[in-house]
Amino acid sequence: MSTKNNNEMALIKAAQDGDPKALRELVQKYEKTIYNFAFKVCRSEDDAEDTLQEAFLSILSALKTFNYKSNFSTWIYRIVSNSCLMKWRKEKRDRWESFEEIDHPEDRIQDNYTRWPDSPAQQLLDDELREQMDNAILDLPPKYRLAFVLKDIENLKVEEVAESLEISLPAAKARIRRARLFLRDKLEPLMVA
Amino acid sequence: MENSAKERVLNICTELGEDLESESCVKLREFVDTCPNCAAFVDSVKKTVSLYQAYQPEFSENQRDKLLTILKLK
Repeated sequence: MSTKNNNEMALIKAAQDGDPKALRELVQKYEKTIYNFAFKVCRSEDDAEDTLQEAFLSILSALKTFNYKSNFSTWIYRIVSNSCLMKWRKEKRDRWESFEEIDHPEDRIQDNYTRWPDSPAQQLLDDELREQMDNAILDLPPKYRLAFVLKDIENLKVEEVAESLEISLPAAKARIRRARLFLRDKLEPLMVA
Repeated sequence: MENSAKERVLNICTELGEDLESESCVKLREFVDTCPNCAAFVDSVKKTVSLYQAYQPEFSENQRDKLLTILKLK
């Protein structure tokens, strides 16, 4: 095991034993990761901050149950993902109810695609694109959104996505695939205009 | 390439949940590069991901203070 992993395990152990300095250090180590993750899933600073606080309260209360069998960051992502899912269940948003039933044209390959501009990231300065990106990801049901953000933004392995979301590997792959194609389809009108 | 075969090839990376820069996807892209329509499709999926990756929020000192206060770690 690497020195980095040993240091982290020692930090987690001290935090599990209630050492306030270790707890603070652990929070500071993961605060940005969790905030970024929450923001990318919620697309709102207020919701991301609420999720960050709720997630850390859950993490600290469950810390003693961490058994070192999984990667600590994967364990954290699982708690944050559950926190997000519970929050959305409470809100009972109906915008995603029909997602699984409706036909998804983005799942089919068309005969003609227009090439997108070479540096789309520069277009982030474009408010219309940012708004479209926010709306597109918010139109994705949370379970697909979480899979996409964990895989493509947080750069987890597919196996870690499956573990974090407590789903099978084929289910994780299917969610990532559908999310990528759905978002691509939603952004296309702006990219080829 | 027939549509069903094309669809199958183009969906390989996403079906596998592969990194779009993984060795197998790079090889796949080299293959689909011979088909302009396939290449445009794969490229657009990759750019979709890169757009979402580029959009970074900021975490402020104020947010850190609030968090540490709530967690009673201040």
